[in-house]
Amino acid sequence: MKNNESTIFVFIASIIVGLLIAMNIGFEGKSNFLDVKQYHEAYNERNKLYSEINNLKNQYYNTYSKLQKYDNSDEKKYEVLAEIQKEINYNNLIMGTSDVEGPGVKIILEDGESNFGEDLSREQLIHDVDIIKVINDLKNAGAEAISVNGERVIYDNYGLCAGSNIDLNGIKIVPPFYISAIGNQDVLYNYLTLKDTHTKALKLGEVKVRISKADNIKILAYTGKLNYSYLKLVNK
Amino acid sequence: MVAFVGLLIGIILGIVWNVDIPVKFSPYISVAIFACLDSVFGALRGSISHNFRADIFISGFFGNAALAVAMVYLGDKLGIPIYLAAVIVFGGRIFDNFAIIRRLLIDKTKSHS
Repeated sequence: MKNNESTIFVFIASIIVGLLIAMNIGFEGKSNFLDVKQYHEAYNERNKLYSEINNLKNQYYNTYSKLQKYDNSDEKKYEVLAEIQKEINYNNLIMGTSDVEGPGVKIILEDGESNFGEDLSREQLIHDVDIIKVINDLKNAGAEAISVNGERVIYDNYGLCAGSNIDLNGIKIVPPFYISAIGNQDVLYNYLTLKDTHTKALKLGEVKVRISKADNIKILAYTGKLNYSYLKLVNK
Repeated sequence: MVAFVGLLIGIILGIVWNVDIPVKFSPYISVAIFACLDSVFGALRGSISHNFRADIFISGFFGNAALAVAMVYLGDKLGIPIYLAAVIVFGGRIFDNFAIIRRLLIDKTKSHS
């Protein structure tokens, strides 16, 4: 009797186990266990997708709130105009076509002094390349606006050596060069003085370099023309 | 013998019904299968050595499975593969039980002959 009972129980239990096994094997044909490498790849992929989703969500939110502003206000037109004006101002700020001010550093570059009766040697002169490299240093350090002798430096400036003066964007500038940059004062100053930059090399050389922090630097707008005749927008 | 027949019937039933468990639950089911298998081996051994007790078997059958699943869940939440403990313990016990069953069966056949 007891043996019989146990047989029944074992029978039922094994049916249940068999069921479970069959259920589990059913979809395990395409092994759903990953090895370590696959797991890592999948994990990275997932993270990437997550961050992408977050970015898209942010983007969506921004665009949506903008759209809401356009759509849901009583004075639609004014709102839209104000928004557009804000964007234009912002773009001008970035482009360098508006006057800006803020904290930053001032750099004064001057040719070295010659001994009496001697011409200035190459090392004692400031060259166009020096100016460009200093500007590059500033950009590297995160300067948001730069001017050289009052001339705003934007993305398509060029510098040329034109004998006694330097031709910056078609405007002749002569030493001493007053370069001012708006940005994080400390970062700019430390970058220029501590790091291995061209500005520092100049400072150690035979020309005169003076760098100082300033709280309120005014940089005027770029006055040149922006001509584009070959550029076209690519249709997305 | 009964166990194999039951297992076969169960597998066939499972394939015929074709029930899919979500992939999420797959590890839980795997451990639960192990726990149940362990109970079945225990029951087999009990029935052969004539000290089978239905209440112990049933409580072990479901209790072990539930505990194993709970451990897998906990391990998943804590980030430690606790299910390894269940797998090792159940695996070891299955082998133990199998060894005893073997011995008993072989002794039986020898005493019969």
